[in-house]
Parts: sequence; C-alpha cells; structure tokens
Amino acid sequence: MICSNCNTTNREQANVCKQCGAVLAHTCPRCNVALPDAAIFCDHCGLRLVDSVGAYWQTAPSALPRVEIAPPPKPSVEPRAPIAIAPIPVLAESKLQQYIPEELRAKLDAARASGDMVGERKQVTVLFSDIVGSTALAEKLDPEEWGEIVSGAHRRVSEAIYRYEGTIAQLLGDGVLAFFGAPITHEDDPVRAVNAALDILKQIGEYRNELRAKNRVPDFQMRIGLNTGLVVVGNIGSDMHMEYLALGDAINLAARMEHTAAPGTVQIAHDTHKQVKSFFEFENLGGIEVKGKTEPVPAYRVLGRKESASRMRGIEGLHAEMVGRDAELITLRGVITDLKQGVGRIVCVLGEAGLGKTRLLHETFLVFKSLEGLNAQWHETLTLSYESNQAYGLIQRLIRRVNGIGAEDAPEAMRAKLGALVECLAEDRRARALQLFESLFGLESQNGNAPLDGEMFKRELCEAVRDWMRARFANQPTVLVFDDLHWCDAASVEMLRQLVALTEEIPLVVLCALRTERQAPAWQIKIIADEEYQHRYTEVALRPLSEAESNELLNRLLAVAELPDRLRANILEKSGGNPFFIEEVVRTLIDSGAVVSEDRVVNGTTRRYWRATNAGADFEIPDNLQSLLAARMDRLEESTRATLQIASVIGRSFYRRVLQLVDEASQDLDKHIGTLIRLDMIRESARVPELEYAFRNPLTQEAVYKTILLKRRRAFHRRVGQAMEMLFPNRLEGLAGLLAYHFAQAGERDKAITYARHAAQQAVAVYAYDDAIQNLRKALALIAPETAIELQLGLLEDLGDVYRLVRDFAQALALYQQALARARDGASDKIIAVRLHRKIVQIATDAKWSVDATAYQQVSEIRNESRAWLEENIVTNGNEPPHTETVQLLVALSMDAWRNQTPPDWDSAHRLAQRAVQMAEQLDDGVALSKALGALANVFDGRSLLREHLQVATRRLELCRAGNFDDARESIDALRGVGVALMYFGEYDQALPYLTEAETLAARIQATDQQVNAIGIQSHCLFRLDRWDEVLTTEARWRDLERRYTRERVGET
Amino acid sequence: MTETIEQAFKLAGQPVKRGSMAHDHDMYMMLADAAAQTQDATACRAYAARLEELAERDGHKLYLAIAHRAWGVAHRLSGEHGEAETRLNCALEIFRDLGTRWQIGRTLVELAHLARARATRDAARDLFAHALAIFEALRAQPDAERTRAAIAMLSKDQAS
Repeated sequence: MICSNCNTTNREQANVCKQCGAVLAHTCPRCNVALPDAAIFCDHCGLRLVDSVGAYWQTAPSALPRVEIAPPPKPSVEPRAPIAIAPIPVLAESKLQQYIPEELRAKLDAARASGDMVGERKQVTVLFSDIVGSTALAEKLDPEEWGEIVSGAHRRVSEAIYRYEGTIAQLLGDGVLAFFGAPITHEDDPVRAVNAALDILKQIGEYRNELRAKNRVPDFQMRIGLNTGLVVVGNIGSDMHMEYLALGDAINLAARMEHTAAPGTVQIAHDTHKQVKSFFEFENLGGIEVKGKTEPVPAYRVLGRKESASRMRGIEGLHAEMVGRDAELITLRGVITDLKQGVGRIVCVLGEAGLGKTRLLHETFLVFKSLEGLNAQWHETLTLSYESNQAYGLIQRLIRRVNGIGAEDAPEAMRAKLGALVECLAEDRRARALQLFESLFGLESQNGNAPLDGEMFKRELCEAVRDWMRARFANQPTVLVFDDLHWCDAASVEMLRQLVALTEEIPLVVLCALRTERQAPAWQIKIIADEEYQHRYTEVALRPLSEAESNELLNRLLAVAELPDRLRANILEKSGGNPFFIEEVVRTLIDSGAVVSEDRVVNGTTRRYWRATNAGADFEIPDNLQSLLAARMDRLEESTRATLQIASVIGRSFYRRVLQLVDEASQDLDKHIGTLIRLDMIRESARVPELEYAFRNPLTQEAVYKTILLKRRRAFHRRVGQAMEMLFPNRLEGLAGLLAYHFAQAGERDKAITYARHAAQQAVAVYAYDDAIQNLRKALALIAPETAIELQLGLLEDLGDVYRLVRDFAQALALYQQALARARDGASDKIIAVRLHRKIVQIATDAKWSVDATAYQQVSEIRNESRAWLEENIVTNGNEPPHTETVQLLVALSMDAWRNQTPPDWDSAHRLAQRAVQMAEQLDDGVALSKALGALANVFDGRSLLREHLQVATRRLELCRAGNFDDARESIDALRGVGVALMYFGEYDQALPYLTEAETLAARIQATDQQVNAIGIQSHCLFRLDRWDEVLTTEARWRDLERRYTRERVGET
Repeated sequence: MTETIEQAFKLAGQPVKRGSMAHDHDMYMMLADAAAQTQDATACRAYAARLEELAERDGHKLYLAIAHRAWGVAHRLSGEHGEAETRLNCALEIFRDLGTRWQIGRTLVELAHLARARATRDAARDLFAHALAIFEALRAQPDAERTRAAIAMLSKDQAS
C-alpha cells in the first residue's frame, strides 16, 4: 500500500502511513468499492473524497497583495478513513432521510451549505443501539417482514435521536450509530444522548408490545451503549448521514458498552457518566473487560431520570463558600425581605455561562429559608437546552412543579391533578381552564368541546394561567425562579411577558437567571422589565471574579494545597475569573491525578491536604468546557468561524496584520472581527504599536484550536510563522519563542530548533529560567537521536547551564554528562570537554554549601572524575595562553581547592585566583575579571585577610558598576561581597545598603538563591545591631522564599 | 561550649552560616562573651586579650566593646573595681555609639553587679532598672527575668 501523501510503501493491512501518518485509502468508505488513485469522487457512489482543507486553500485570493507563503500540502486525494468498526452496509439515502425532522434538516442544511461540516475534531457522545438477538430473529422471519420490523425500530430510534438534535452517523444493519455533538455542538450533548437513549428504550418498549400483540416477535428488545470522547468528523453526505473517522477509543468503547449492555438497558462509560451523573440515576456495574485495555473499564447502567436534576455545579466532596458575590447577594436578600412586606418584583440575574447564576440562586434560596416570619413559597423551574423548540415547555414545567405533576404520570393521574388545579378558580371558569390545561399537556379533552384555534388558544391559555397564578399565589408570598431562561421557548416567553404584570397585584417575585444572549427570546423579559416595570425591576449583572477572588475560590476549593505557583497562575489565567471554569479545571486535575489529596494529622486533627503530583503547569481543557465553548463557536457563520479558528492558531492574542496574511481567503476580515468582538469572544487588546486582538477567555482559544484537524493546524502554523517572519523582520529575536512554537507545530524542525535556542537565550538574558528550560527541552525533543550531534551537545550544555542557575544540580550534572558523551561521540573540540568538566567541578563547589549532604556526596563523586580528567589533560602551570575559558577554569579550580578539599588548600586557591585575575586583566574581559576577583576575595576572606578582602571586593564592585557591565548575577555577588567584607569589620550599618541593593536586584532577576543569601546576611547584621524586630521581618521574607522555592532551590542558608 | 568552639579553630575558612566564613575574631568573641556570662575570670582574661588584639587589628568596634566588657567582668571578679569600671564604661560608650541596645543593657547589668560589689546599692538598683527597661523594650525575656531576679536579690540584701 503506497501512501498518496508521501509515497512511502506500507503494509497491505496498514490503515495509516507509517511515515507521515496520513490515512491510507483503499476503498470508498461508503460503498466499499476500490478507489483509483487520485480520485476526487468515488466513481461508484459519487462520494466526494477531497478534504475541505484542500478546498479551503484553493479558494480565490483575497484583495490583499499575494504574499509568497508556501501553502500547506494539497493532497491530490484526501483519503477517507477506514471505519473502525466492522463495515456494515448502510441503508440507502432515502431510508435515512425520511426520519430526519424538518427543523433539524434545516439546521443540517445550513451547516452543510456553509461548509460547517468540514473535517474537524469534535468532542462527541457516541450512541450505539442494536436489536438483541437479531440474527436468530431474522432467521425465523421472512426477509421482507424482518425488514419492516427493523424499519419500524429505526424510525423510533431516529425520532428520539433527532428530538435531542443528535445526528445519525450510520444505520448498521439493524443497529444505529449516532453522534451527539457533531455537526452541531451543544454544551449538554452527553445529557441529550442519555435522554435520547431512554426515549429509545421507552418507544421500543411500546413497539415490543405492538409486535407481541400482532404475534410477530415474542420479545423484541434493544440495548444501547454510550461513550463520550474525541472523534474526527468529516463531510456530511448528501444523504444527511455523517461520514466519520473514528479515533479509536471513543467509538470502540461506545460499541463495547452496547455489546455488554443487558437487553433493554442503556450502559454508559465513565467519560459520559461524569458529565451526566447529576441528571440521572445509575447502577455502577464495576469494570468491563475491553479488548486492548489492560484494566477493566468502569461502566454504569442508566436507571432513569432524576426527579429533580441538580443544576448546581461544583465538585463532589469539595465545598467552597461563594466568592465575590456579596453585593449581589445583599441585593437579592433585599428583594426577599421586601417580599415579606408583600412587595412584588421582577429580577434578572445576568451573566455568561459559568459565572455563578445558579449558585447565586441557591444562596438566595438559603437566605429565603433562613428569614424568619416569611411564610412564603419558592418554586424553581429549569429550562433545558433541548426544549427550546417545545412550545410552552416552561409553562408546563411551572404547572407541573407547583402542582406536583410528575413527568411519568399516566394521563388519568394528570387529568386528576389538573382537575384539582382548577379548583382554585371561579366555578364558571373551571371547565374552560381544564380544557386549556389538558390541551397544554397533550391530553384529549373529555368535555366534548371543540378544539381551540391557535390564536384563541394562546390568548385563553394565557388568561387561564394568569387566573390560576393570581388565585394560587395571591394569599401567600411566592418566589418563582426561572433558571437558564435563555433556552426558553418563544411561546413561554411570550406568556411570561404578560404574567410578570402580576407582580403589580400580588406578592410575587419572578426571579429569572439568563445569559446575556440578546438574540434569545428570553431577552425580551429583561427588556420589558427594564422598560415597563422599572419601579419593580432589579437587575443583577454578574462579572468575572477578580484575580484575588479567583485565587480565594481556588483556596477554598483546595483548602490546604501545595500547588506549584505556575500551575496556580495558569489556572487563574485560563479561567478568566469564571468560577465554573476554575471548578472544572480543578476537577480535571483531581480526576487526572495531577492533584491528589492526603489525610494528614496536624496537631491531633486530621485534615485533607491537596498536593500536585508533578511540577507541570499545563492541563487539558475539561471535556464539558470544551463542549460549552465549542457550542458557542458552532453558532457562528462559517466564514467567521474559520477566521476564529485561524486566530486560535496564532495564539491567545494576535496581530491583525498576521491574521490578515494567514486568513487570506477571508473576504471580509473586519466584518468577522467585528462580529467576534460583539459576541464577546475576542477583544481589542492594543492599538500601539499595532492593532492586536485577544481572545476574551484563554480557554475559548484552546477550545477553538482543538477543533482543527491536525493536518490543517500544521498548515496554519507554517503560514503564521512565515507571516511573522515577513511582517516583523527586525523583531525576530523578540518573537523567537513564538516562531519556534509555530514552526515546531508546523513540523519544520530546523527552523523551530533555531528559534527555540534563540528564545532560550533571550529568556536567560531576562532571567526567565523556566521559559528557557521549556524552549531548550522543546528544541532537544525535535532532534532525532544520533543526528546533529554538535547541536544536541550545545543544547544539552545550555540546558545544564540553566538548571545550574536554578540550583537543580542533579539535572545539570546529568545534562553535562550527556553532553560529554555526545562530545566523545562527535570527537568534538577539546575545549568543549574542558568546559563541561569545569562546569561539573563548579557544580560540586556550588553544592558544597547546599543543605542536602547526600546530594553533595553524589555530586562529589562525579566531581572527582572531572577533576581527574582536568588534571590529566590540562596543565595549569602559568604558561597558558590567555583565554576566557582558561580564566573560568582557574577560578573554578581555585574555588575547588578550598571548598571541595579538606583541609582547604589555601595556597593553591590563592595562586590559581591570582593567575585568573592576571589573565582576565590581559583579556580585558570585565565579567571574567569580576569572577576572578571574586575568587581572590574568597581566598582573602578565608584566610582572614579582611582588609585585602574588602579591597578586592570593592574593586570588583567598581568593575560591576561600570556602564558596560551587564552580568546581573555578578553584580549581585559583588554587592554581597562588599557587604560581607564590611560585616567582618563590624561595619554593619555600612554593609546593609549593599546587601539591600543585592536583594533588590536578585529579586528583579529571580535569582532566588542570591536573594536569600543577601537577606540572610542582612539578618546577621541586624542581629548584631540588636535591631531584633527588623531581624524578624527580614527572616520572614527569607522563610517566604524558602516556602515558595524549597530549600534546595534557595541554596545555602 | 568552649571546647567545641576551640575545635573550630582548626576549621578556619569554612562556612559557618549563609556562606559566611568563621574568622578567628568571631570565635574569640563568642568565647570571651561566653566566659563573661559564666563569670569565669580566667577564661575572660584569656579570650578577651586575644579578642581585643584581633578587634583592634580589624577595627571591629563591636567586638572591641565585647572584649572591654569581658575584661570588666574579669577585673570585677578579681576585685579590681577601678579597672573594671574603666573597661565597662569603655564598652558602654562604644555600644552607645553603635546603638546596640541589647549590648548596652547587658553592660549596664555588669555595671550594676560592679556597683553591688562596691555596696552602692542605690546605684546598682538604678543600673538594673535602666537595663530592665531596655530588655523589656526589646522583649528580651531571659535577660529581663535575670535582671528582675537580680533586683529582687538586691532588695533582699538590703532587707537583711
């Protein structure tokens, strides 16, 4: 099998090219007919085979001048993926089309017409359904008869799936494969999928009774399996079913759930369960064996819907007090208090998803319950996202909730409860009202009255509901809560607009919570309340939490936590002040084991203690957030959406010019940008030095980015990198990190490595050591083993240097040793080996005063080997030609002579340091001279030659204060040196300013070890001056640094 | 403690704390001060002499004052009250220049002990009271306790 992308020969059974990873096409995925090379359409069934990526890049150039940027590869044939499950013939187009409801067809048509269904990565919930024992059943029946039975089942399955806006991917014989989340994403697709599955079982149950009654099949049953995960979805076919590429686990696990489900049940996998568990009842089935998995996979049987599903978010087992909403809660408390006096109100709690509307309602309910003397009722209704097309869905829920009418109540029970409901009305109104309510709930009227026409029904129903509410709530203060009103159907909103007038007459509070979605019908409630009932209207607009509030929430969730500062900062930055996002990220960290809890006994009390299991700061965007954010994106027009996707590739913030150059196919960039700003997805972040935009929320950028196919991402990244090189030729150094990232993502290794190394150098120059480490590690990861030896050696040494700077001696030693091994492999210049051995000796010197004696012992053994190598290969007899490396070697050996040798060899240390000074003076190298003077000062210090010590230290500081000196660590050391020299003379007051300056400079460049050292010596001086209060505050700063960076990092204390 | 510190002379040039070196004058300061606190006249003389020499060599005012105080204790313990007063006043003057309040308090205590030895109880009480005020201001609890005990002892002497 030859790959059409890179011409590599693969095994015949291969599905994916072993060289480039392209999917290998063998046959048409729809009809299984063998395909000729370079086919764009299947010549048997007509399925289009070329991916829209190619189509995208082939679009006409924009009006902008053409920039010569290499386009991404244009595959002559975009092979379709092999289907991961056994190929089963799909039903003919017409068979599937007949099940698609008109309104969903319209949505799908719109999506297809706009190209919305081009290949994308999507988080979907996969549903498999199958008829139990179909082979045996089919054998007993005539094929035509069996076909009819299966068709009847398919119709019922399809209806349920489409009811919740799922999409049927394939009809697999008597089974069905459906997706929830593609092509149209909803934020609650897993919930929709489980609801659909339950509806299927209910309808199949009725179907079974029908078949049994007709003596056709004695026991017709179905079983259903669900799983949630990532898939790649492809073009939609003309028959409205999704062609798809399955990414292993998600599809296979859903199939496995179905295979192992008991007849007549729905079985779901863990990833679905964790997103729906507050909505349904389950039986935990334990672990299910799955081929290819070493551990059994958790599975759950869905038992039914919960009577009152909780919309309250949060993390099981963790409780956090509400943060940052005190003022809002006080406002709502005022509303409830006024109700006690019979004052009616309309309240809208507004805010984007996750800002805590439902939590605020819950807290208000707690206030409501706690208020003494308030003999009031609280009725809460929730609008579900998939009920926005169900006319009067909200009104039905309200009536059900207030009157205890269950969703599963039989018609007769409902009729009885509705009969009781109208009892509170005037006698002459009851019969008419009952007829209206029966119609509302789809019950046939038994009083023989003719059905009402549309307009009359609407008007009379509204009157009946208003009469009922007036009668029901007039004598008792009532709060009616409508949560998630933004999803409310238009008919309910229309009625609610009229019902809010009741707040003028009776003690009624209408409390609505909705998102700031102006196009939603429910926004009319806010408008009418604001305009017509201003005197009764209260609006509570929730804002994102501040950074301090977000941090507080994090602290409250993980009461006692050891989180790395970078992880904490990353959580706060990405969540953008959205409490739901913070909770979800914390949940993900806990679920993934990145943060674990331990019970520890402190002062006799057991406390739960959270700690991060690694030092990493990155985390995957939680699945439900991905869906929530992707759902927003899916509501955009395709061209705007494409612009947003490209922007997400550029990064969290992006220059307009770069976007314009990369998104050259876009005809109307400013219009798209305007739309995205209006929808609050991006914001203008700068105009100077040039126009720049940023994603409003960092997680949105990640969510959008994750929808793009890997292949398209690579192409986009390449174009972004090239565009930046072209637009900013004079700023490449400053952009090196970004360029390295984009070229690495584009697969352009050489460029990526070059830029990464530049970026690391830049980072070291500004003391951003973590960034430097990341860049160097990325560069190393891009080099194939046994290639580019010199480059690898250089990167390993650079990385070792950075680790040495952050006092991670073990890492630094390991890297220097790896570099030495590479130097031997590559027969490198001897000076490289000298340098590496010198650095190893210096690490031992640094580690000598480390707090960890064991670590020093290990370092010491390696130091002995390097020292021996240097003695064998380098003659330090005073005749060496002047060289900076030699100065450094002399300095290192001088330090080694007194620090690492016992007893100290002061004579050698003195001789080596003096030669280092002389050589550095010859070289006219300021930094080398400073290091040499430092070594000499140390010798004088150690020999108690205090005047000489002070003299040399002062000379060194003068050198470092010269205008052209730019080594901050040396400057700090020089300042400290003078401070220490003065301290030995008892000149504590004089020493302190130098030490304070050293501390300040060290803090500025994040040289924590030097900072702590400067603080420690200050503390000593203050102690000798009997300024004890200042000693305490100084030591508090020191302890804070130790706590943040660990003792190993801060060094000798 | 003296034995332990003397051992350290063999390790001169090694770090003591926070990367600083242990110099002879640091160790003699500790030895002389410890001798004064333990009222060991012989040790005071031995270490104070060496400390004074090193402090003068290095111009180390604090250590010089500590040496003076140790000498003052040694003289008092030997009944050389005039020399003791001179030394203690020298120490006090340097400490006052340096503004080292704890050292001032401790020197006042030594002056009080000298006054007591001279049977000038009122002067001793004033000096103790002055020292106590300094220790209390510094929240130097052990010194304050010791000074209170000394004042109580003084009252007891007077009563008997």
